[in-house]
Amino acid sequence: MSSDNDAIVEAVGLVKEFRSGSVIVPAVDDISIKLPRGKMIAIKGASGSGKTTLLNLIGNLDKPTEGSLLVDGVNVAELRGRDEVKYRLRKVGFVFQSYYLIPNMTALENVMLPMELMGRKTNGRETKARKLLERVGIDATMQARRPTRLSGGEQQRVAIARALANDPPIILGDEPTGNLDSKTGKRIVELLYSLTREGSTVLVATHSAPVAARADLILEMEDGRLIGASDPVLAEAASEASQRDEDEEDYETEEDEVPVYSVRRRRSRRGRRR
Amino acid sequence: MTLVRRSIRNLVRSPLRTGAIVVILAVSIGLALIMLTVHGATENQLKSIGEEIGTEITVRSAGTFGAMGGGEPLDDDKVDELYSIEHVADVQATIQTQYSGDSLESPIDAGSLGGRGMGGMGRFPGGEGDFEMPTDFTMPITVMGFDPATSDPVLMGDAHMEIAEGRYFTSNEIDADVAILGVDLAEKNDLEVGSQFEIEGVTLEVIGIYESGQSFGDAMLVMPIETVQRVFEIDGVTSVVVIADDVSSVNTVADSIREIWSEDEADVVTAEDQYERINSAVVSAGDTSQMAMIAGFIIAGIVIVFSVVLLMRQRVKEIGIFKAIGASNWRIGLQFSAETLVMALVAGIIGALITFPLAQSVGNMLIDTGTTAPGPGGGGMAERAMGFFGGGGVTSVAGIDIAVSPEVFLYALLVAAGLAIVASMFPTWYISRVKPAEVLRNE
Repeated sequence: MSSDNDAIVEAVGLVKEFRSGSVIVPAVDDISIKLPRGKMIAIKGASGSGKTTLLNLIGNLDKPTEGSLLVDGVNVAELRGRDEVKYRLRKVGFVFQSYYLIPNMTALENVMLPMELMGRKTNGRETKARKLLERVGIDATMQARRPTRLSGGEQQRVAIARALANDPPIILGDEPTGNLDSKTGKRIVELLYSLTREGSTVLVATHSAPVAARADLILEMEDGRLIGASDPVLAEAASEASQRDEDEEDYETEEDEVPVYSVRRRRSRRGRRR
Repeated sequence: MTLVRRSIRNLVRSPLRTGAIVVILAVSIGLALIMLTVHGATENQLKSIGEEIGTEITVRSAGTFGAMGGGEPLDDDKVDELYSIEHVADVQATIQTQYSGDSLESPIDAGSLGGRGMGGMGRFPGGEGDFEMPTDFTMPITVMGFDPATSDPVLMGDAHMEIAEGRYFTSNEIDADVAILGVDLAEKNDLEVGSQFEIEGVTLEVIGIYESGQSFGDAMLVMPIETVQRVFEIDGVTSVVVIADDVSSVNTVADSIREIWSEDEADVVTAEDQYERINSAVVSAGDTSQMAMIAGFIIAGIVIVFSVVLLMRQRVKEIGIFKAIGASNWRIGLQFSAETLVMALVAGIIGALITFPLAQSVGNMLIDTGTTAPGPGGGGMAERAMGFFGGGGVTSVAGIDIAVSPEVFLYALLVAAGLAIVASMFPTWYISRVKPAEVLRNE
C-alpha cells in the first residue's frame, strides 16, 4: 500500500457511524485529509464533534464505516487479527485523558508492558523503560510506585512513556491535559511537542485553546466534519479531496488567534435517520 | 513467571473477593474429593465382600428355616440336572435333618438357650411370665449329610469341619454306615473313633471326630448324604451349593437353576443377592457419595465460571487498555486463565487438605455403622453371612475404614486444572468481543 511520503495519515471519505436504536449517528462524517509527518497536530472541537472517534480510527481502536485510511502506509480499515495487534503495538502510541495505566503494575512495569507484548527481552525492556521514564521526568523512586501513588501529571508522564515504548511513528493523545491543572497541562504539552523534534508525529484531540496553540497545525471539527485547518495548504488539500467542484476559501480568527481556514465540503450527507 | 507473579498480584488486589471465591471453591472441591474418597472406599469394600462371597449359588428347599430345616426336600433327579448347566463348576448337595431319638444325647443343655430368642425356642419375655422350657425336653441333634466328594463341607455359618481324630469319608462311602461326630457330641455320648452306635435301627461306625470351634457345630452328627437319606427315609436333599465358574456367570447359572425349580419349590440365592442385601448400606453410601461428588464438581464449576464472569466484568476497562496498547486476545486470555488457574489450584490444595480430617467423618455419616440388613433365612452360604438361625437374623454392616491417600492432592490438582480450563473458555469468548474504543469511551 503506497502513500504520500510526507503524509503519515491519509484519509479519503472517512466515515464512522454509530447506531443508537433506529437512529444512525455519524461521528465522523466524510473526512478527507492528509496529515504531515513529524508535526504536532491538534484536533479541536466541542464534545461530540468526533475528535476522539477520529483518533480511535487512526489508532485502529475502531473501524471506519466507509472510506479509506492509510497510516504510515498501512490501510487501517483492512487490518484484522494479528495484523491489527501488530499495528497497535508498532505504529501508534495512545495517551488518554484518564491515563489508563494498569493499576496493579508499577510505573516501570506499565512502560515495560508494550515491550513485553512485543516480545522484547526482560533486560532490554527494563533499561529502555527506565530511560523513557527518566526522559519524561519520572525518577527511580516514582518508577517503583503504582499509579495510585502518583499525581495526575506524573501518571500522564508515565502514560506518555508507555506510548513511546515501541517507538511508534505516531502518538495519539485524547485530551491528554483534560484532567490536569493548567501548569501541569502545559508541561505535558511541551513534553508531547518535544517528541516531534525526534520525528514523531503527535496528534492531539483537545478542546483546550492553549494546547491547540502549541500545535504546528490545527484541525477543527464539528458534528463529525472537518470544518477548518490552520494551514491554508492543509485546508486546501482537505477541500480538494472532499470537494473538487467548488472553489471557496474563508478565513476565521479564533480566540487563541491561530488562523483557521475553512474546509469546503463536497456535499452534505444525506439524512441518516433510518 | 511474570504471568504467574502478575496473576497472584491481581488476585491479591481484591483479597476479600478472591478469598471468598477461593473458600467457596475449596469447599466445593473438598466436598467432591471427600466424596471421591468415600466412593472409592465403598467400591473397595463391595469388591472385597464380593470376592469373599465368591461365585456360590445356594438352592434351598422353600420354607427352610435355618438349621432347624423344614420345607420339602429338593428332588435328587433335579439336583442331577444341575451338572448339565453351562458354567457350573461344582455342585455340593447337603441334607440336613434332626434326630430326637434316645440313642444319642445332645451336648447342648436346653435350659441354656433360655432368653436367647432363637426362632421359637427358649424363653420369651412379656405376658404373665416367661416361657419356661419343659424339664424333660432334650435338644434334637442336627444331622448333616454330605457328599464324600465335598472337600470342605460347611456345617453352619462359617463353621467348617476340622478332623481332630480319625478321617473324613472316602468316595466309596457315599452310602456306608459310617459317621463323623462333633467333639462335644462324641464326648457327651462316650463315643470315639471305632465306636458304634445305633440310629433308627441302623448301626453306624464312628470313623472320625471333628472340631468346628462352635458349640452348635460341635454338637452335630455328620454322615454320607445317601446314608442320611436311607436312615431317615428322606427323598432328596435340603440344600445345594452350586459353584459357578466365574462371577460374571453367576446370574446366568442362577436363572437356569430357577428354570429347574419354581419359586414354590426352592429359594435360589446368589452371591450377588447376598452381596447387595448385606451391603445395601454400603451401596447406598456409594451412590450418595457419587451423587455428592458430581454435585461438588458441578458447584465448583459454577462457582469458578461465575467468578471469572465477575472478574471479567469488573476489569473490562483493563481489557480495553490492554487491547489499546497492543495486547492480543490470546495474551489477555492467558492472563485471566492464569489467574483462574492460580485460584483453582489454591482452592484445590485447601480442598485436598480438608479431605484428610473430614473424609472418615463424612463416610461414617453416610454409612451408619448400626445399619442392619434383613437376613434371608436358611442355611448354607446364607448362614455364613447372616448367622446360624438366619430366619429372622440381622447383620451389622461394619463401618468402612476410609483412608485418604496422598494421591488426593493429585486429584485436587487435576480437578483444579480441569475447572480452570473449563472456566477459561468464557474469558476467551468475552475478550474477543470487547471493543477497546467502546469500553474506554464509556469510562
